[in-house]
Amino acid sequence: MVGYTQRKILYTMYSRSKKGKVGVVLIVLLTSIPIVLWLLLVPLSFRFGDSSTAFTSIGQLLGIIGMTLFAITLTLSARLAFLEEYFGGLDRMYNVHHYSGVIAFLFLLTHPLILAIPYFQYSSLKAAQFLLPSANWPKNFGIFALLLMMVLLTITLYARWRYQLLRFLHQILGAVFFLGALHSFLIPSDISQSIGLKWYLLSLSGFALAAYLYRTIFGSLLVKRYTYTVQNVRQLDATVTEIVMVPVGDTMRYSPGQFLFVSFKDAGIDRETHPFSISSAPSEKELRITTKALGDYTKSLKDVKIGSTARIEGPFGRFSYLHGLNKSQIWIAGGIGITPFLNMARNLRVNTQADYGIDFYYSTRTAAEMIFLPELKEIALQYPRLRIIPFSSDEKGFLTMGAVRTLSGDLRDKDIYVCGPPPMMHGIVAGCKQMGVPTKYIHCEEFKLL
Amino acid sequence: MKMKIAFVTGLVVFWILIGIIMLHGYVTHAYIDGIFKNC
Repeated sequence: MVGYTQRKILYTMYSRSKKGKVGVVLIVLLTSIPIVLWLLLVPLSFRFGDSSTAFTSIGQLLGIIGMTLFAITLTLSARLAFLEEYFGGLDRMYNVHHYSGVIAFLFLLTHPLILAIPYFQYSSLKAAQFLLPSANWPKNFGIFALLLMMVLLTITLYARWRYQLLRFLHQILGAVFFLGALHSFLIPSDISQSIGLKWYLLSLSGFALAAYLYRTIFGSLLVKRYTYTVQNVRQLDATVTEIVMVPVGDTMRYSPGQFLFVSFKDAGIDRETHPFSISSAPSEKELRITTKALGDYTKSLKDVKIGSTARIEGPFGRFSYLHGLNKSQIWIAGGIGITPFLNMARNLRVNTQADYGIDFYYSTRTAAEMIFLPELKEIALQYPRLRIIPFSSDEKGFLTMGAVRTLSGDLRDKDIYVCGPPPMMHGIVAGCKQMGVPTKYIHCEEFKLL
Repeated sequence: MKMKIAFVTGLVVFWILIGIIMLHGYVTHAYIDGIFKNC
Protein backbone atom coordinates (compact mmCIF):
# COMPACT_ATOMS: atom_id res chain seq x y z
CA MET A 1 0.00 0.00 0.00
CA VAL A 2 1.45 3.34 -0.91
CA GLY A 3 -0.82 6.07 0.32
CA TYR A 4 -4.46 6.89 0.14
CA THR A 5 -5.44 7.27 -3.45
CA GLN A 6 -8.48 5.96 -5.12
CA ARG A 7 -6.49 3.81 -7.52
CA LYS A 8 -5.25 1.68 -4.66
CA ILE A 9 -8.15 1.92 -2.28
CA LEU A 10 -11.74 1.04 -2.90
CA TYR A 11 -14.06 0.96 0.02
CA THR A 12 -16.45 -1.86 -0.31
CA MET A 13 -18.52 -3.91 1.98
CA TYR A 14 -18.85 -7.57 2.47
CA SER A 15 -21.13 -9.82 4.38
CA ARG A 16 -19.18 -11.40 7.21
CA SER A 17 -20.67 -14.79 6.49
CA LYS A 18 -19.27 -17.99 7.93
CA LYS A 19 -18.09 -18.98 4.47
CA GLY A 20 -16.06 -15.78 4.38
CA LYS A 21 -13.97 -17.06 7.27
CA VAL A 22 -13.23 -20.47 5.76
CA GLY A 23 -10.15 -19.07 4.01
CA VAL A 24 -8.44 -18.05 7.24
CA VAL A 25 -9.28 -21.42 8.86
CA LEU A 26 -7.85 -23.14 5.79
CA ILE A 27 -4.62 -21.14 6.08
CA VAL A 28 -4.25 -22.15 9.73
CA LEU A 29 -4.86 -25.78 8.72
CA LEU A 30 -2.41 -25.66 5.79
CA THR A 31 0.23 -24.17 8.10
CA SER A 32 -0.43 -26.73 10.85
CA ILE A 33 0.03 -29.77 8.59
CA PRO A 34 3.82 -29.35 8.12
CA ILE A 35 4.19 -28.70 11.86
CA VAL A 36 2.43 -32.00 12.62
CA LEU A 37 4.49 -33.85 10.00
CA TRP A 38 7.65 -32.33 11.48
CA LEU A 39 6.65 -33.33 15.01
CA LEU A 40 5.95 -36.92 13.91
CA LEU A 41 9.24 -37.27 12.03
CA VAL A 42 11.65 -37.56 14.97
CA PRO A 43 10.95 -38.11 18.71
CA LEU A 44 10.77 -34.83 20.59
CA SER A 45 13.28 -36.11 23.14
CA PHE A 46 15.81 -36.21 20.32
CA ARG A 47 14.84 -32.81 18.90
CA PHE A 48 15.08 -31.09 22.24
CA GLY A 49 17.68 -33.39 23.85
CA ASP A 50 20.17 -30.59 24.40
CA SER A 51 20.23 -26.87 23.80
CA SER A 52 22.18 -27.13 20.55
CA THR A 53 19.73 -29.54 18.82
CA ALA A 54 16.81 -27.63 20.34
CA PHE A 55 17.88 -24.39 18.65
CA THR A 56 18.52 -26.21 15.37
CA SER A 57 15.08 -27.82 15.58
CA ILE A 58 13.33 -24.52 16.34
CA GLY A 59 15.26 -22.77 13.54
CA GLN A 60 14.24 -25.42 11.02
CA LEU A 61 10.62 -25.33 12.12
CA LEU A 62 10.55 -21.54 11.74
CA GLY A 63 11.88 -21.96 8.19
CA ILE A 64 9.23 -24.57 7.35
CA ILE A 65 6.39 -22.41 8.71
CA GLY A 66 7.83 -19.32 6.99
CA MET A 67 7.98 -21.02 3.60
CA THR A 68 4.48 -22.49 4.02
CA LEU A 69 3.07 -19.03 4.74
CA PHE A 70 5.13 -17.53 1.90
CA ALA A 71 3.58 -20.07 -0.51
CA ILE A 72 0.10 -19.20 0.77
CA THR A 73 0.84 -15.46 0.47
CA LEU A 74 1.95 -15.91 -3.13
CA THR A 75 -1.18 -17.89 -3.97
CA LEU A 76 -3.42 -15.21 -2.45
CA SER A 77 -1.75 -12.53 -4.55
CA ALA A 78 -2.81 -14.28 -7.75
CA ARG A 79 -6.35 -12.85 -7.53
CA LEU A 80 -7.93 -16.29 -8.04
CA ALA A 81 -11.65 -15.67 -8.33
CA PHE A 82 -12.69 -19.04 -6.89
CA LEU A 83 -10.89 -18.27 -3.60
CA GLU A 84 -12.60 -14.92 -3.15
CA GLU A 85 -15.79 -16.20 -1.54
CA TYR A 86 -13.82 -18.10 1.12
CA PHE A 87 -12.35 -14.81 2.34
CA GLY A 88 -15.51 -12.69 2.07
CA GLY A 89 -14.25 -10.70 -0.92
CA LEU A 90 -11.07 -9.87 -2.77
CA ASP A 91 -10.22 -6.97 -0.47
CA ARG A 92 -10.25 -9.25 2.57
CA MET A 93 -8.21 -11.77 0.64
CA TYR A 94 -5.61 -9.08 0.02
CA ASN A 95 -5.66 -8.12 3.71
CA VAL A 96 -4.98 -11.74 4.65
CA HIS A 97 -2.23 -11.73 2.00
CA HIS A 98 -0.59 -8.74 3.74
CA TYR A 99 -0.80 -10.34 7.18
CA SER A 100 0.43 -13.77 6.09
CA GLY A 101 3.25 -12.12 4.11
CA VAL A 102 4.55 -10.15 7.08
CA ILE A 103 4.21 -13.14 9.43
CA ALA A 104 6.08 -15.32 6.89
CA PHE A 105 8.77 -12.65 6.65
CA LEU A 106 9.22 -12.50 10.43
CA PHE A 107 9.49 -16.30 10.67
CA LEU A 108 12.03 -16.37 7.85
CA LEU A 109 14.07 -13.57 9.48
CA THR A 110 14.26 -15.52 12.73
CA HIS A 111 15.11 -18.80 10.97
CA PRO A 112 18.88 -18.13 10.32
CA LEU A 113 19.41 -16.33 13.63
CA ILE A 114 18.15 -19.29 15.66
CA LEU A 115 20.10 -21.73 13.49
CA ALA A 116 23.29 -19.71 14.15
CA ILE A 117 23.01 -20.04 17.95
CA PRO A 118 24.46 -23.60 18.22
CA TYR A 119 27.63 -22.38 16.46
CA PHE A 120 28.42 -20.13 19.43
CA GLN A 121 29.51 -23.18 21.39
CA TYR A 122 32.48 -23.33 19.02
CA SER A 123 33.09 -19.60 18.56
CA SER A 124 31.26 -16.44 17.58
CA LEU A 125 33.33 -16.47 14.39
CA LYS A 126 31.74 -19.79 13.41
CA ALA A 127 28.30 -18.27 14.01
CA ALA A 128 29.21 -15.22 11.92
CA GLN A 129 30.57 -17.42 9.12
CA PHE A 130 27.38 -19.47 9.15
CA LEU A 131 25.38 -16.35 8.36
CA LEU A 132 27.55 -15.33 5.42
CA PRO A 133 27.51 -16.72 1.85
CA SER A 134 29.94 -19.56 1.23
CA ALA A 135 30.58 -22.37 -1.26
CA ASN A 136 27.34 -23.98 -0.02
CA TRP A 137 24.94 -22.89 -2.77
CA PRO A 138 21.72 -24.26 -1.29
CA LYS A 139 22.47 -22.13 1.77
CA ASN A 140 23.33 -19.14 -0.44
CA PHE A 141 19.93 -19.41 -2.16
CA GLY A 142 18.32 -18.92 1.23
CA ILE A 143 20.55 -15.95 2.12
CA PHE A 144 19.93 -14.20 -1.20
CA ALA A 145 16.18 -14.90 -1.00
CA LEU A 146 15.99 -13.33 2.45
CA LEU A 147 18.06 -10.29 1.46
CA LEU A 148 15.97 -9.72 -1.67
CA MET A 149 12.81 -10.11 0.36
CA MET A 150 13.98 -7.43 2.79
CA VAL A 151 14.87 -4.97 0.02
CA LEU A 152 11.73 -5.52 -2.06
CA LEU A 153 9.32 -5.41 0.86
CA THR A 154 10.94 -2.28 2.28
CA ILE A 155 10.72 -0.51 -1.08
CA THR A 156 7.13 -1.51 -1.77
CA LEU A 157 5.99 -0.62 1.74
CA TYR A 158 7.79 2.69 2.13
CA ALA A 159 9.04 4.10 -1.19
CA ARG A 160 6.93 6.78 -2.84
CA TRP A 161 7.71 5.65 -6.36
CA ARG A 162 5.39 5.15 -9.28
CA TYR A 163 2.67 2.67 -8.39
CA GLN A 164 3.31 0.50 -11.44
CA LEU A 165 7.04 0.23 -10.62
CA LEU A 166 6.27 -0.67 -7.02
CA ARG A 167 3.83 -3.30 -8.21
CA PHE A 168 6.47 -4.75 -10.51
CA LEU A 169 9.03 -4.89 -7.67
CA HIS A 170 6.46 -6.56 -5.43
CA GLN A 171 5.79 -9.13 -8.14
CA ILE A 172 9.49 -10.09 -8.17
CA LEU A 173 8.80 -11.67 -4.79
CA GLY A 174 7.62 -14.67 -6.84
CA ALA A 175 11.22 -15.16 -7.99
CA VAL A 176 12.36 -14.70 -4.39
CA PHE A 177 9.99 -17.49 -3.38
CA PHE A 178 11.54 -19.72 -6.06
CA LEU A 179 15.02 -19.08 -4.57
CA GLY A 180 13.69 -19.81 -1.10
CA ALA A 181 12.08 -23.02 -2.34
CA LEU A 182 15.38 -24.11 -3.91
CA HIS A 183 17.05 -23.52 -0.54
CA SER A 184 14.36 -25.52 1.28
CA PHE A 185 14.49 -28.53 -0.98
CA LEU A 186 18.22 -28.70 -1.73
CA ILE A 187 19.69 -28.16 1.73
CA PRO A 188 19.97 -31.26 3.97
CA SER A 189 17.14 -30.89 6.50
CA ASP A 190 13.96 -32.49 7.77
CA ILE A 191 12.34 -31.68 4.43
CA SER A 192 14.89 -33.73 2.52
CA GLN A 193 14.54 -36.58 5.01
CA SER A 194 10.77 -36.81 5.20
CA ILE A 195 8.86 -37.92 2.11
CA GLY A 196 5.58 -36.59 3.53
CA LEU A 197 6.99 -33.17 4.41
CA LYS A 198 8.86 -32.92 1.13
CA TRP A 199 5.82 -33.75 -1.03
CA TYR A 200 3.51 -31.59 1.00
CA LEU A 201 5.76 -28.55 0.67
CA LEU A 202 6.52 -29.37 -2.98
CA SER A 203 2.78 -29.46 -3.74
CA LEU A 204 2.13 -26.22 -1.90
CA SER A 205 5.13 -24.50 -3.53
CA GLY A 206 4.16 -25.88 -6.95
CA PHE A 207 0.63 -24.53 -6.57
CA ALA A 208 1.93 -21.14 -5.41
CA LEU A 209 4.35 -20.90 -8.33
CA ALA A 210 1.65 -21.99 -10.78
CA ALA A 211 -0.67 -19.29 -9.40
CA TYR A 212 2.15 -16.74 -9.68
CA LEU A 213 2.92 -17.74 -13.28
CA TYR A 214 -0.80 -17.66 -14.16
CA ARG A 215 -1.22 -14.12 -12.87
CA THR A 216 2.13 -12.40 -13.28
CA ILE A 217 3.98 -14.04 -16.16
CA PHE A 218 1.22 -15.38 -18.40
CA GLY A 219 -1.61 -13.15 -17.18
CA SER A 220 -2.11 -11.50 -20.56
CA LEU A 221 -2.72 -14.93 -22.14
CA LEU A 222 -4.49 -16.87 -19.39
CA VAL A 223 -6.56 -14.41 -17.40
CA LYS A 224 -10.07 -13.86 -18.77
CA ARG A 225 -10.61 -10.22 -19.73
CA TYR A 226 -13.54 -8.51 -21.42
CA THR A 227 -13.10 -5.96 -24.17
CA TYR A 228 -15.18 -2.79 -23.98
CA THR A 229 -15.19 0.45 -25.92
CA VAL A 230 -15.33 3.83 -24.21
CA GLN A 231 -18.62 5.35 -25.32
CA ASN A 232 -18.57 8.50 -23.25
CA VAL A 233 -16.47 10.35 -20.68
CA ARG A 234 -18.46 12.76 -18.53
CA GLN A 235 -16.99 15.31 -16.18
CA LEU A 236 -19.58 15.39 -13.40
CA ASP A 237 -17.84 18.13 -11.45
CA ALA A 238 -14.31 19.51 -11.08
CA THR A 239 -12.93 16.20 -9.79
CA VAL A 240 -15.47 13.46 -10.54
CA THR A 241 -15.45 11.69 -13.89
CA GLU A 242 -17.81 9.03 -15.19
CA ILE A 243 -16.63 6.67 -17.90
CA VAL A 244 -19.31 4.85 -19.88
CA MET A 245 -18.31 1.69 -21.74
CA VAL A 246 -20.10 -0.73 -24.05
CA PRO A 247 -19.08 -4.34 -24.69
CA VAL A 248 -17.31 -5.58 -27.77
CA GLY A 249 -18.20 -9.27 -27.78
CA ASP A 250 -18.88 -10.89 -24.39
CA THR A 251 -20.66 -8.83 -21.76
CA MET A 252 -19.42 -9.00 -18.19
CA ARG A 253 -22.21 -9.97 -15.80
CA TYR A 254 -22.04 -8.58 -12.28
CA SER A 255 -23.99 -8.07 -9.07
CA PRO A 256 -24.79 -4.80 -7.29
CA GLY A 257 -21.75 -3.50 -5.44
CA GLN A 258 -19.07 -5.43 -7.29
CA PHE A 259 -15.92 -3.93 -8.76
CA LEU A 260 -13.60 -4.53 -11.68
CA PHE A 261 -10.03 -4.02 -12.81
CA VAL A 262 -9.65 -1.93 -15.93
CA SER A 263 -6.85 -0.78 -18.22
CA PHE A 264 -7.35 1.57 -21.17
CA LYS A 265 -5.55 1.10 -24.46
CA ASP A 266 -4.84 3.91 -26.92
CA ALA A 267 -6.77 6.20 -24.61
CA GLY A 268 -4.11 8.87 -24.24
CA ILE A 269 -3.34 7.80 -20.66
CA ASP A 270 -1.19 5.15 -18.96
CA ARG A 271 -2.13 1.54 -19.62
CA GLU A 272 -1.95 0.68 -15.94
CA THR A 273 -4.55 -1.67 -14.48
CA HIS A 274 -6.64 -0.24 -11.62
CA PRO A 275 -9.63 -1.32 -9.56
CA PHE A 276 -12.88 0.66 -9.59
CA SER A 277 -16.35 0.10 -8.23
CA ILE A 278 -18.98 -0.45 -10.89
CA SER A 279 -21.49 2.39 -10.65
CA SER A 280 -24.01 1.19 -13.25
CA ALA A 281 -26.80 -1.19 -12.32
CA PRO A 282 -26.45 -4.81 -13.54
CA SER A 283 -29.52 -4.38 -15.75
CA GLU A 284 -27.97 -1.50 -17.73
CA LYS A 285 -26.51 -2.11 -21.15
CA GLU A 286 -23.61 0.23 -20.50
CA LEU A 287 -20.93 -0.40 -17.93
CA ARG A 288 -20.06 2.69 -15.89
CA ILE A 289 -17.31 3.57 -13.46
CA THR A 290 -17.25 6.81 -11.50
CA THR A 291 -13.91 8.10 -10.32
CA LYS A 292 -12.58 10.96 -8.28
CA ALA A 293 -9.26 12.65 -9.16
CA LEU A 294 -7.24 11.73 -6.09
CA GLY A 295 -3.98 10.53 -7.65
CA ASP A 296 -2.00 10.92 -10.89
CA TYR A 297 -3.89 8.15 -12.63
CA THR A 298 -7.39 9.15 -11.57
CA LYS A 299 -6.59 12.75 -12.51
CA SER A 300 -5.76 11.57 -16.03
CA LEU A 301 -9.02 9.63 -16.47
CA LYS A 302 -10.91 12.71 -17.62
CA ASP A 303 -8.65 12.63 -20.70
CA VAL A 304 -9.59 9.09 -21.76
CA LYS A 305 -10.43 9.23 -25.46
CA ILE A 306 -13.89 8.24 -26.60
CA GLY A 307 -13.66 5.13 -28.77
CA SER A 308 -10.60 3.77 -26.99
CA THR A 309 -10.47 0.18 -25.79
CA ALA A 310 -10.96 -0.89 -22.18
CA ARG A 311 -9.70 -4.29 -21.04
CA ILE A 312 -11.73 -5.40 -18.07
CA GLU A 313 -11.19 -8.16 -15.55
CA GLY A 314 -13.87 -9.08 -13.09
CA PRO A 315 -16.28 -8.82 -11.54
CA PHE A 316 -14.89 -9.07 -8.01
CA GLY A 317 -16.31 -8.52 -4.55
CA ARG A 318 -18.96 -10.22 -2.45
CA PHE A 319 -20.48 -6.88 -1.65
CA SER A 320 -24.19 -6.44 -1.91
CA TYR A 321 -27.17 -5.33 0.10
CA LEU A 322 -28.56 -8.63 -1.17
CA HIS A 323 -26.11 -10.46 1.15
CA GLY A 324 -27.24 -8.52 4.22
CA LEU A 325 -28.69 -10.50 7.13
CA ASN A 326 -31.50 -7.95 7.69
CA LYS A 327 -33.89 -6.36 5.26
CA SER A 328 -33.68 -3.21 7.34
CA GLN A 329 -30.42 -1.52 6.43
CA ILE A 330 -28.36 1.63 6.88
CA TRP A 331 -26.12 2.71 4.04
CA ILE A 332 -23.46 5.30 4.80
CA ALA A 333 -21.46 6.81 1.94
CA GLY A 334 -18.64 9.30 2.44
CA GLY A 335 -17.51 11.32 -0.58
CA ILE A 336 -16.55 9.15 -3.56
CA GLY A 337 -17.37 6.14 -1.37
CA ILE A 338 -20.81 6.54 -2.92
CA THR A 339 -19.86 4.60 -6.06
CA PRO A 340 -20.81 1.08 -4.89
CA PHE A 341 -24.04 2.52 -3.44
CA LEU A 342 -24.88 4.09 -6.79
CA ASN A 343 -24.81 0.63 -8.31
CA MET A 344 -27.07 -0.72 -5.56
CA ALA A 345 -29.48 2.23 -5.57
CA ARG A 346 -29.77 2.06 -9.36
CA ASN A 347 -30.51 -1.63 -9.00
CA LEU A 348 -33.43 -0.80 -6.67
CA ARG A 349 -34.98 1.27 -9.43
CA VAL A 350 -35.60 -1.88 -11.46
CA ASN A 351 -36.50 -4.00 -8.41
CA THR A 352 -39.22 -1.86 -6.92
CA GLN A 353 -40.96 -4.91 -5.42
CA ALA A 354 -37.99 -5.66 -3.16
CA ASP A 355 -38.78 -5.42 0.56
CA TYR A 356 -35.61 -3.77 1.79
CA GLY A 357 -36.04 -0.73 4.04
CA ILE A 358 -33.00 1.47 3.63
CA ASP A 359 -31.83 4.71 5.24
CA PHE A 360 -29.11 6.03 2.96
CA TYR A 361 -26.80 8.64 4.50
CA TYR A 362 -25.00 10.53 1.76
CA SER A 363 -22.20 12.40 3.50
CA THR A 364 -19.91 14.94 1.86
CA ARG A 365 -17.98 17.96 3.06
CA THR A 366 -20.18 20.52 1.32
CA ALA A 367 -23.71 20.31 -0.03
CA ALA A 368 -22.38 21.23 -3.49
CA GLU A 369 -20.39 17.98 -3.57
CA MET A 370 -23.58 15.88 -3.46
CA ILE A 371 -23.69 15.58 -7.21
CA PHE A 372 -25.72 12.35 -7.17
CA LEU A 373 -28.38 13.66 -4.81
CA PRO A 374 -30.98 14.54 -7.51
CA GLU A 375 -30.71 11.08 -9.04
CA LEU A 376 -30.93 9.39 -5.63
CA LYS A 377 -34.04 11.41 -4.77
CA GLU A 378 -35.57 10.35 -8.06
CA ILE A 379 -34.83 6.69 -7.27
CA ALA A 380 -36.38 7.18 -3.81
CA LEU A 381 -39.60 8.35 -5.50
CA GLN A 382 -39.72 5.09 -7.44
CA TYR A 383 -38.65 2.98 -4.43
CA PRO A 384 -40.25 4.67 -1.40
CA ARG A 385 -38.60 2.36 1.13
CA LEU A 386 -35.30 4.08 0.28
CA ARG A 387 -34.88 7.19 2.41
CA ILE A 388 -32.11 9.55 1.32
CA ILE A 389 -30.50 11.54 4.14
CA PRO A 390 -27.98 14.13 2.89
CA PHE A 391 -25.36 15.05 5.44
CA SER A 392 -22.92 17.90 4.87
CA SER A 393 -20.09 17.92 7.41
CA ASP A 394 -19.53 21.67 6.90
CA GLU A 395 -23.08 22.31 8.11
CA LYS A 396 -23.66 19.49 10.61
CA GLY A 397 -20.18 18.28 11.58
CA PHE A 398 -18.91 14.79 10.89
CA LEU A 399 -21.51 12.07 10.64
CA THR A 400 -21.56 9.99 13.83
CA MET A 401 -23.50 6.89 14.78
CA GLY A 402 -25.20 9.01 17.43
CA ALA A 403 -26.70 11.13 14.66
CA VAL A 404 -27.62 8.00 12.72
CA ARG A 405 -29.41 6.50 15.74
CA THR A 406 -31.33 9.73 16.30
CA LEU A 407 -32.66 9.63 12.74
CA SER A 408 -32.96 5.88 12.16
CA GLY A 409 -33.78 4.50 15.63
CA ASP A 410 -32.34 1.36 17.22
CA LEU A 411 -29.48 0.02 15.10
CA ARG A 412 -28.97 -3.38 16.65
CA ASP A 413 -31.24 -5.20 14.20
CA LYS A 414 -30.01 -3.48 11.05
CA ASP A 415 -27.24 -4.26 8.62
CA ILE A 416 -24.92 -1.26 8.39
CA TYR A 417 -22.89 -0.66 5.27
CA VAL A 418 -20.12 1.93 5.22
CA CYS A 419 -17.99 3.13 2.36
CA GLY A 420 -15.80 6.23 2.63
CA PRO A 421 -12.48 7.62 3.83
CA PRO A 422 -10.69 5.46 6.45
CA PRO A 423 -11.12 7.88 9.41
CA MET A 424 -14.84 8.05 8.77
CA MET A 425 -15.17 4.28 8.48
CA HIS A 426 -13.17 3.69 11.64
CA GLY A 427 -15.36 6.21 13.49
CA ILE A 428 -18.56 4.61 12.23
CA VAL A 429 -17.42 1.08 13.09
CA ALA A 430 -16.31 2.15 16.58
CA GLY A 431 -19.68 3.89 17.07
CA CYS A 432 -21.57 0.78 15.92
CA LYS A 433 -19.68 -1.42 18.36
CA GLN A 434 -20.32 1.00 21.22
CA MET A 435 -24.03 0.79 20.47
CA GLY A 436 -23.98 -2.98 20.57
CA VAL A 437 -24.45 -3.59 16.84
CA PRO A 438 -23.31 -7.19 16.23
CA THR A 439 -20.10 -7.34 14.18
CA LYS A 440 -21.79 -9.58 11.62
CA TYR A 441 -24.13 -6.68 10.76
CA ILE A 442 -21.31 -4.20 10.12
CA HIS A 443 -19.98 -4.16 6.59
CA CYS A 444 -17.01 -2.02 5.73
CA GLU A 445 -13.71 -2.71 4.22
CA GLU A 446 -10.63 -1.11 2.80
CA PHE A 447 -9.20 -2.27 -0.44
CA LYS A 448 -5.42 -2.27 -0.71
CA LEU A 449 -3.24 -3.40 -3.52
CA LEU A 450 0.45 -4.32 -3.33
CA MET B 1 -0.30 -0.23 10.52
CA LYS B 2 0.39 -2.96 13.10
CA MET B 3 1.87 -5.10 10.35
CA LYS B 4 4.14 -2.26 9.24
CA ILE B 5 5.37 -1.80 12.81
CA ALA B 6 5.99 -5.56 13.08
CA PHE B 7 7.86 -5.50 9.77
CA VAL B 8 10.15 -2.63 10.76
CA THR B 9 10.73 -3.97 14.28
CA GLY B 10 11.63 -7.39 12.87
CA LEU B 11 13.99 -5.85 10.36
CA VAL B 12 15.72 -3.59 12.89
CA VAL B 13 16.14 -6.36 15.48
CA PHE B 14 17.44 -8.70 12.77
CA TRP B 15 20.15 -6.29 11.62
CA ILE B 16 21.16 -5.37 15.18
CA LEU B 17 21.62 -9.06 15.99
CA ILE B 18 23.47 -9.72 12.72
CA GLY B 19 25.68 -6.70 13.46
CA ILE B 20 26.46 -7.96 16.96
CA ILE B 21 27.26 -11.48 15.71
CA MET B 22 29.47 -10.18 12.89
CA LEU B 23 31.29 -7.66 15.06
CA HIS B 24 31.77 -10.11 17.89
CA GLY B 25 32.81 -12.93 15.56
CA TYR B 26 35.24 -11.06 13.40
CA VAL B 27 36.58 -8.44 15.83
CA THR B 28 37.11 -10.95 18.65
CA HIS B 29 38.71 -13.38 16.24
CA ALA B 30 41.08 -10.73 14.84
CA TYR B 31 41.94 -9.65 18.37
CA ILE B 32 42.76 -13.21 19.46
CA ASP B 33 44.76 -13.76 16.25
CA GLY B 34 46.71 -10.61 17.03
CA ILE B 35 47.54 -11.82 20.54
CA PHE B 36 48.81 -15.16 19.22
CA LYS B 37 50.86 -13.48 16.51
CA ASN B 38 52.53 -11.29 19.12
CA CYS B 39 53.42 -14.29 21.28
